[in-house]
Amino acid sequence: MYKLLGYWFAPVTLTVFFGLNSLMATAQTANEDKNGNGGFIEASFAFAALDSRFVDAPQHFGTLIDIRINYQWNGFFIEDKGLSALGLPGLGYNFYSDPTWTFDVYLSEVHKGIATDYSDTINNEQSGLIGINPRDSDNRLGLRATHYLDETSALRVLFAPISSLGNHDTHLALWYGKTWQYFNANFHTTFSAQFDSSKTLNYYYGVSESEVSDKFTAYKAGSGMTLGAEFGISYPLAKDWVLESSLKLTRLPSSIYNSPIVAPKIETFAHISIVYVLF
Amino acid sequence: MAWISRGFVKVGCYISLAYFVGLSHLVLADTPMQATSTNELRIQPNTCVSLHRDQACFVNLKMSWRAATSNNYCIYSSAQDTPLKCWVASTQGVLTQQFGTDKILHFYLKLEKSNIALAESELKVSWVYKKQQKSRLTWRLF
Repeated sequence: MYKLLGYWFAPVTLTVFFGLNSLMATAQTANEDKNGNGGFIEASFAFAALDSRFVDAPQHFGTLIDIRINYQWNGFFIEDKGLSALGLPGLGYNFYSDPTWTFDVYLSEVHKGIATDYSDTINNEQSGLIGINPRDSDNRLGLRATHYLDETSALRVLFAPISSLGNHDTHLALWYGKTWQYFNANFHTTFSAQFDSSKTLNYYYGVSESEVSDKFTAYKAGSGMTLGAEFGISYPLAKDWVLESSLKLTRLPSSIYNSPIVAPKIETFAHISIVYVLF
Repeated sequence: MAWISRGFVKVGCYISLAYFVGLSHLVLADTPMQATSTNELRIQPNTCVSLHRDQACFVNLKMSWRAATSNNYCIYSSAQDTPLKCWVASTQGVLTQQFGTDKILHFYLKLEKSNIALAESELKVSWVYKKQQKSRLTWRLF
């Protein structure tokens, strides 16, 4: 169903985007630098491979269509990077900014839902979870600080204690990222560490008594650290087109290694994409 | 039948007229080529695209020139005062060179030891993401 919707949306989206492109580009040029307003919207057409964290997930290789939005207006911003970076949407308000520091109030999805009908997964990544009760996505409100080390690297910290799940616990994340240019190719690499409490990890990766079956034995997860590393390359093909590729590795917390819900300790995602940039 | 033959005549007139107009156009178009053969400097490609605003854009540029009369010619760029290359007693030449720039570059064909540009071309610089450095850095990374 989602696949069909994707096929239907693709030409519609492209038609709208191509049609709006010149109009939006004109508007963007007029105001992008006066107060930091501006951003971009882009559509990505990817060939992707995924070795999912979930048990009995098929090894995927297929095509994906992805829309990304990054826009900032008078301090308010929206970020949705699709499959790139964390792949989690967020919005917020930037209340302090100087050449080396920015501070934001940030509302973001920090963990995707599991076993829900609307889980935003890649194809049938969670098809092995039949019998597991649905887990909602964890949307959190917190403070985010970014420190620009120089023109090409930055350090970011997110402290998000307020959760839509009602957990009174801590989600703490730290990222370091660096970009560099070699001729017209742009490379980037990021390293991340995210701490989640036992309450959160147990919500997603624990198996309660009501879920116990031959396949899913009872399991209680503790707190833990998720580590991530990404390496990517972007190459401009034309004024509105970019060739992109990246490899992302996510090492799951050791406290959930033995959870019946997960299979590999490291989740791997790789893609090569053609990106059309609306503006 | 008369209207048919009149029709043929009319069509014939139009065809003849079109033919002569076309021919004269060709003749007229050829005339200045033979008479003046204007100096020209062509570059390929004429636009360089980088990913982010203000980033240096790198391009392997092919510059080809031709001149009406044989002489000593040089190609200059707006990025440097010294010539990129000079040719002795030539009417044409080709130069391929790599450039890295974040600004529009102009290229000039000049006579050696002259400051007058006989022909000119422009390398435009364009970028995919137009947002300023700071936001695009984090948007790209995280």
